[in-house]
Amino acid sequence: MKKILLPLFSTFISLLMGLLLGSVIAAFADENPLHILQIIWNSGLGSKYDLGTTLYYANALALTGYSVAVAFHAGLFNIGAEGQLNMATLMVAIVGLTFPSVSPFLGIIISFSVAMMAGALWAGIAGLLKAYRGGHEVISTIMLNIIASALASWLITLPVLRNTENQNPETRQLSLSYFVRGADPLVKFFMDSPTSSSILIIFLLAILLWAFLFRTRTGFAIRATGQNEVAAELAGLNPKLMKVIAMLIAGACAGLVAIGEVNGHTGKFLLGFSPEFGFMGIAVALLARNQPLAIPPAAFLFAILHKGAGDLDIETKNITRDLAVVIQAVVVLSISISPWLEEKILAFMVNHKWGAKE
Amino acid sequence: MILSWAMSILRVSTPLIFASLGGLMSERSGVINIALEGLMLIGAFTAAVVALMTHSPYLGLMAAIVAGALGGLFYAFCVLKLKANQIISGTAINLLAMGMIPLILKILYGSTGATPNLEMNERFLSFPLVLLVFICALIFALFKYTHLGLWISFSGEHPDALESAGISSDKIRWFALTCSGILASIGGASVSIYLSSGYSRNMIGGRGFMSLAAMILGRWRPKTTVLACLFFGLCDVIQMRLQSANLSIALPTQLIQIIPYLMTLIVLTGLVGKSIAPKALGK
Amino acid sequence: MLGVALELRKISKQFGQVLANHKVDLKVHVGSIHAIIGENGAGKSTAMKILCGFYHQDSGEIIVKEKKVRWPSPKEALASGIGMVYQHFMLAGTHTVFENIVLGTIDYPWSLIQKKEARLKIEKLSKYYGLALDLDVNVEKLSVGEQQRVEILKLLFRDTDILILDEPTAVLSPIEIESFFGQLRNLKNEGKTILLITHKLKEVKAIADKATIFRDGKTVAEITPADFSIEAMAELMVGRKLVGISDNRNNREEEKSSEVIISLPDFKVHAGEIVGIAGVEGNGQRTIIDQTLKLRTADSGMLPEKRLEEALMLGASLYENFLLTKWRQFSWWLSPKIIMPYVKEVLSRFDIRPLNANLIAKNFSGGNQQKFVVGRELWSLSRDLTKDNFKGPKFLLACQPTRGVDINAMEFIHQRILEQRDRGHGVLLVSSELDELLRLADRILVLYRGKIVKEFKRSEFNETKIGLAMAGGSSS
Repeated sequence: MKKILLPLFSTFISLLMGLLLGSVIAAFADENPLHILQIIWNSGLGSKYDLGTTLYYANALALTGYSVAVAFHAGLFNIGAEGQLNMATLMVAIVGLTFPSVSPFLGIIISFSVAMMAGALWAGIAGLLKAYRGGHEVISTIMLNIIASALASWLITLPVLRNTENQNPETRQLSLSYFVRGADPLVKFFMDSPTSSSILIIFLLAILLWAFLFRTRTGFAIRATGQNEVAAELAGLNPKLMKVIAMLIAGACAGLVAIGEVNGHTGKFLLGFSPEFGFMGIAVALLARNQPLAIPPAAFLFAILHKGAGDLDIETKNITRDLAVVIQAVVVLSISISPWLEEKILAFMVNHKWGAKE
Repeated sequence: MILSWAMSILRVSTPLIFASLGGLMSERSGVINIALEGLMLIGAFTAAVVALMTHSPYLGLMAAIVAGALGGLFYAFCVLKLKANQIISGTAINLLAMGMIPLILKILYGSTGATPNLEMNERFLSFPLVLLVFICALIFALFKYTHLGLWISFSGEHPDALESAGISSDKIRWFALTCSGILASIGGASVSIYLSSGYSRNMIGGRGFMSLAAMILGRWRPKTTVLACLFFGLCDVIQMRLQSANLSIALPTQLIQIIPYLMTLIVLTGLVGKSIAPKALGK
Repeated sequence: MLGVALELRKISKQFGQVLANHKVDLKVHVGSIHAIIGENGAGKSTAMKILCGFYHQDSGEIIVKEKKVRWPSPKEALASGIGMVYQHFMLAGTHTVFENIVLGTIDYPWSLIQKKEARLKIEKLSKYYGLALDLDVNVEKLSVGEQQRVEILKLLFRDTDILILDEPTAVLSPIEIESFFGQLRNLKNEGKTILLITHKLKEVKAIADKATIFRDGKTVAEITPADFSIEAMAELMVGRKLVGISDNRNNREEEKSSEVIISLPDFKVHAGEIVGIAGVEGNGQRTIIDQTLKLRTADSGMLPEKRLEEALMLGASLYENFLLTKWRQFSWWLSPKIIMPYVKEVLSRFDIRPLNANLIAKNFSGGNQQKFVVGRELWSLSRDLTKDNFKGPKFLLACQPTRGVDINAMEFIHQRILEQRDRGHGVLLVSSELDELLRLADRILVLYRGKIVKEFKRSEFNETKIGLAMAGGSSS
């Protein structure tokens, strides 16, 4: 029991710390913390449309959360989900614009494969560098993020891709073979909000990734690599290859953001469409303790926060959407010190004979 | 012509050099510091606000130094005292700076985007360059001639050896991280009150990460790190000049922007010379 | 004999529930070589670390040069002339010998490194004590023996007169050990006091003037090794009569099996034989181990050298640790329903407590972790109808299998290795302990600079000849 309860407890404390500091800031800015919470709650879940928008964020956050979590199981810190999802979205748009007249069925299949492949390849570079050349993945993924956004901002200025109808930094609209939003029942249900049926992917992925990581040989090898690379090597588990595989899967997960964006929401690549989903994914994965099954709820929680905080700009005088970032920061910080926290809790329990039963 | 190019390269490299030397202090002592970005933000913001209030860039810089030291101490507290994961807590500090600053801006000036503009006399004209030369000389000398430099380096290579010689590597890291915070903060300040006039959102725009890249390109050695920063500055200047030149053919300036990062990536492949990161880095 | 250099009086030290030192007494005379012997976990290193200021005693007193002392940190111990050479050297490979030596000799951070004076002093010392070294090369370029010289010079540079050496011969070849002992005698003749932590009783007898024996956290005897036989010292160390392991090899005929268990590029391991690899560490053992690991089948086991670092995932459950090396024996889909009973089988067979395979490895004691690793490696899904999964794998690779374990555990492990051979399985034993090889192996292959330079059959076993071959000498 201790094994599950303790992390659960310290995760709860982390969330509480975030909310607490958020409230303190609100109080400093002369706002009632409860009022702030109410605004966030209403804006995140108040109507079908709001819920739909929240789910749109939750979709992206869960996918980047998986991306960070899978890499983490192999002992890698994937800061590159942002670059991976940008590359994937851009590639889906490019491929879609290149082959506009296919059947919608083929269009979806192409989108899925391109999205996953582009994300996987972009992340795979970092994986290869780490596994075979020892280049630190944190640095290489940061570099790849910057390169991806610079590359994207150049590519969309090319005449073949550029949207000539307006001044936005975006590509032209994809054909209806790819942009299938119109036929999506979920879109209608959520009153035409940005979400789409692509949200179903994240539930499927939660189960698939759990089974992969905790029930298959390769998944086990990935986790062993993260636990003790030397031992994994001696046991014949090929940790180098596992790091690459983990990064490929991580990149494919992040790449799937493209489906919700291009096929389900806008039908094009818009530069800067992601409000740093990749970085928020780090917070999601940490909150979920890298457990795939816990990622959708964690993503949903941060999605409410992100969506709700957007309305703070309008609804309050002194508080802005940035409050959400601060709360996230505090949650991440609290989780980063949770090993220390858990140790203290355990010591406290031992001193007070609470742990006597176990 | 050459002088004007040299001057602009030096100007745009200044914040990078400060911050990457800050990164170098931290990483040579064995602590990964991806909080540089956040520390630069803190420096840029504090310097601008205090310069606005006191009408003195020097006081602004002083305030940034204090804020940077506090930031560095806070990071040290997390990773050394509370044993937090260096990358996660570094990310958290970046997020914290990104979130807190607009909230404070809003309370102070009613806008989340930027501080009011600084007057000319509230900005630096050339002082940061003087400081830069001084700090570079100090850090070169530190690692080349002093015992402290040796201690910092041992703390990153083999902390137990340092401990067995009777010196606490934790103490050295506290010191190095504080210096790191101060240097990154000065770097940030030189963006807001030297290169531009006031703080604005996204002003740092990845310069912290760029400094980290420069430090890796410079292989964790002071001189080569400074050279790498100057090279990054050169790429930046080429790109700016191309943009303002308004050439009839659209040259992809974004591609020039990529070069420094691509180079860093190539260095990470270890194919050009061997990578010599401190052995106990991150442990 | 001269005066007393240092004395520990009734030192006790407790870590959590463990009483590491209990009323430890130790008296060392100036200008002597004093051996500290005892099994692993007997409290030797705790006592030495207290002496060096790393730990603080709970009770008892330390007297150095007739003064009662208490060090706040190692620094003060160093300043009053007590220094230690650790088993794992405290040297940074990317720094020069010079930098490693002067590290920490100045208190003021901003003071400049005084190159000239320091160099003169080091050169004088190295000449005086016969420790020749180039000061400007990076330490990583030096041989292990040379690195040890750097460590000793480091202490001499600080005017240390009480040197504590922790298992200094573990990394040296027999020849190097001879010259190392020469250096020690030099130091002794110059009036330095040397404390030698070791478990090699033969060496104690060869060089030590006095020896203090540790057992179960207590000092049980102070002896003059010259007056004691090695067996007698060993019995004092263990606290009981040693019976030795049963080996029926000498009673039976040499049967040559032609069945090859594993075939390496340079040699083969046959069924029913233990092949020993002798050699000073770093002479190509790694290559042989890597080759072996590449060729292994599902039905094989391995005891790596650093048991806890290389064979366990400390943050994962025992269930997962079981899978770590046994995954080959299961399908790609890992079902806990199928696998868990086997893990429990290992736990109960080897009496590992607590009997809970879901607990993470970190939560088990060191002894239980060791037992688990040995049990896991001897487990192998049974090939016949007896359903006994502990007949052991067809092939076992054992690297320094008894390093860091006490005598009881050592005998247990030796017994298992011999059993493997008697069952007709093959064992490859890589060890730097010649005694272990002589005891267990049927053949010994000697490695020198990455090559097998000599092969000895059991009938030809000769310590001197094997030692010579290990140092690269020819012995024909």
